[in-house]
Amino acid sequence: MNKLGFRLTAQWCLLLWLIRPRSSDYRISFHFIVVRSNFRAARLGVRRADDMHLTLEFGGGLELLFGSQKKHEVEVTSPDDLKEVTMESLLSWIKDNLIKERPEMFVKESSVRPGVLVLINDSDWELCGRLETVLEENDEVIFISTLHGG
Amino acid sequence: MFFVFFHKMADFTLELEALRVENARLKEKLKQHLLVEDMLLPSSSNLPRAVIGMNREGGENACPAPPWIAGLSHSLTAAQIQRYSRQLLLPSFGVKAQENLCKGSVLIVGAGGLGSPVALYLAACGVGCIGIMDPDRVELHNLHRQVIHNEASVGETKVSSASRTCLAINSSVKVVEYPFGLDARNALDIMAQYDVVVDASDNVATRYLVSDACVVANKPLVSGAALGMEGQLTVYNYLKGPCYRCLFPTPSPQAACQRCSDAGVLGVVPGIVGTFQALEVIKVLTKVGEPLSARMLILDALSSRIHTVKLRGKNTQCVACGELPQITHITLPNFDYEKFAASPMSDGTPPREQVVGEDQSITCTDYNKLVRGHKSHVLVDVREKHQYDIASLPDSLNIPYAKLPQQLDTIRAAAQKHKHEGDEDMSVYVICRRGNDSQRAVQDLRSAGFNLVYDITGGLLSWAQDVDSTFPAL
Ligand SMILES: [Zn+2]
Repeated sequence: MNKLGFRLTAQWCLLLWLIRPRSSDYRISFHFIVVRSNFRAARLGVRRADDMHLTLEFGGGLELLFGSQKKHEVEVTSPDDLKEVTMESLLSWIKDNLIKERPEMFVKESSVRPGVLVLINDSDWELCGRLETVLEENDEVIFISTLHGG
Repeated sequence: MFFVFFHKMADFTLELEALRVENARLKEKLKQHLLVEDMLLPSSSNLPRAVIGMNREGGENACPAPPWIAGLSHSLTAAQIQRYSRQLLLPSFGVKAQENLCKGSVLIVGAGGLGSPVALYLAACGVGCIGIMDPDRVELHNLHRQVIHNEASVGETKVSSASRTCLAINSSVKVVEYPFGLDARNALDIMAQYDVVVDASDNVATRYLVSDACVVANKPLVSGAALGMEGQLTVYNYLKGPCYRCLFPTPSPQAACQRCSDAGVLGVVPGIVGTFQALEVIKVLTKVGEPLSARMLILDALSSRIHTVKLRGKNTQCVACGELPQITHITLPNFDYEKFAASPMSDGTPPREQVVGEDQSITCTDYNKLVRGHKSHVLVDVREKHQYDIASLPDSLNIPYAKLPQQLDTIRAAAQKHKHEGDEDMSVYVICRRGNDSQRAVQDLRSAGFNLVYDITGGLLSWAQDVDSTFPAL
C-alpha cells in the first residue's frame, strides 16, 4: 500500500474512532473499518492474495472483439480460488469477463479458434504446453489473428 | 630569433606548394572518375536510356578487361563493383554475398502493397532473376501503397508495370512476367525455377497453396501480410523451421478474414513489411545473418512497436511438411485450395447474395425516380460512421448496422417527422455499401414491426454505377 493510501486509511480510522458508538456494537464498527480499508486497498491497486496480474494483448483484428482495445492489464482469479491459473482457465475467464462481442470469433470448444496464434511471454504456446500451461504473476499473453492482406 | 622565423616561413611555403600540387592531381582524378561513371551509369533524368542503357548480357565486357580483373577471386564485373560498392563495403556482406545475389533467383507472388517494395529492393540490390506474378491490372486505388506502379500504368497489368520499374532501376537484372495467378496446377513447375519464393499475396487460399508448393518444391518461403495498421512476417520451410500449415493446420473461418478492400490499410504498413521481406530474401540468398525462421515479426504501426516472437518448430504430424506428408507433387495439383480455405483466390468481393424478396427491395434506378418525385420517405444508411463520413446520399440517416437494435426509436421518430396529415405509414429505405448489411437490416426492421421497409438493391456501388457516376464508389 502506498503512503497516500496509508494516510487516508489512518484518517478514516481516526474519524471512525472519534464517532465510535459508545455501546455494545463496538465490534461491528471495527469490522467496518477493516472492510473499508480493504476496499481502499483494492482501489489503490493492491490485490487480494488469490488474484494474479496478467497483461493480455489482442491483435490482427481480435482487438475488435474487446472494444478495439489492444492491451489489457487484468487481475485474474482462478475458477476455484485454490488452483493455479492455466491457459484453459484464462480462456474461460476472458470469455466470461473481458470479451465484448462475438465470442465464437475468439474461442472454439475449449481452445482458441483456428487462425489464432497464442504467445506466452513472446513464445508460441505450443512450446510450453498449450491449454495446460500454468501462468505466473505478471505473465504476458498475446492472442494474434493471422493476417492475409497484402 | 629572426632566423628561426625565416626558417618557419620557408617551411610553410614549401608545404603550401606541395598541397597545391596534390589538389590539382586529385581534381584531375575526380574528373576522370566522373567521366567513367557517366559512361557506365546513365543519368536518372534519362529513363528510357536507363532501360536499354546497359546490355543485360554484360555489355560492359565489350571493352577489354582492365589488368586488375585478372588476379581476382570473384566473378563481379567492374560495373557491378561500382553499382554495388556501398553494400560491397559492408564487412558482413562483401563480394561473396553479392555474387550469391547476382546468381540468385526469386519468385514474388503478388505485385501489390507487399510485392512492390520487395521487387524494388531486390532489383536494386542486384538479384539476378526476379519472377513477378499477379493476375490483376493497376487501379487508381492501388497507388497509395503499391509504389512500384504509377499513374501512367493505371489499366496496365501489374506485372508489366512492375517489371518496367525494376528495369528502370537496374537494367542488368532479368525480370520474368507472369500475368496470371498462382494455381495448384502451375505452382510446382514455376517454383522449380527459383531459389526463394516470396508470399506477397492477399488471400488465404493462395497462402496455403504457396506454402504447400514451397514444401513440395523444397524452397524457402518469405511470407508477409499487412492489414489496417498491422503487419506480420516470417520465413517458412527454412531448415528445421515450420511451414504455414504447421502453424495454421485449419484455415480461419471466413468471417475472421478481413480484406484490404473492406478493412482498409495504411499504405506505408505493407511498405514496411515488404521491405522486411526483401531483407529476409537477401539474408536467405546470401547466407548472411539469421533469417526469421521459427520466429515471427509483428508490427504494430499505431504504437510504433515491433515484436519478434518465438514460434514452434516443424510439426512431425504436419500434412505438408511432416513425416508422412499427404501433400506431394502428385496430390498438390489436384488439391482444391479455394474449397479448403472457403474463400476465393483473390482479394475481390464475394458476390452479393439476394436474401430479401423482390417485394421488399427496390432498384437504385427506381429509388432515384421516387426521390425525384419528392415522395416523402426515410432513408437509412447502415454503414459504419467512418465509411458514411467519406460520402453519403443527401438526407440519409446514418445508423450503423451493429447499432440498429438500439436505434429503432430514432427511425420511428424520423418517420413521424416526415409524415403529413392523412398519410399512410411512412416508407423506410435501407442502403449500405454493397447491399448485404442493408438486406439484413430490412429483415431485422420487419421483425421489429416496421412494415414498409425496403432494401436498395446493390447499395451505393450500384448507385454509382446506375444513377450517379460521380458518386465515389469505394
Ligand atoms: Zn508443416
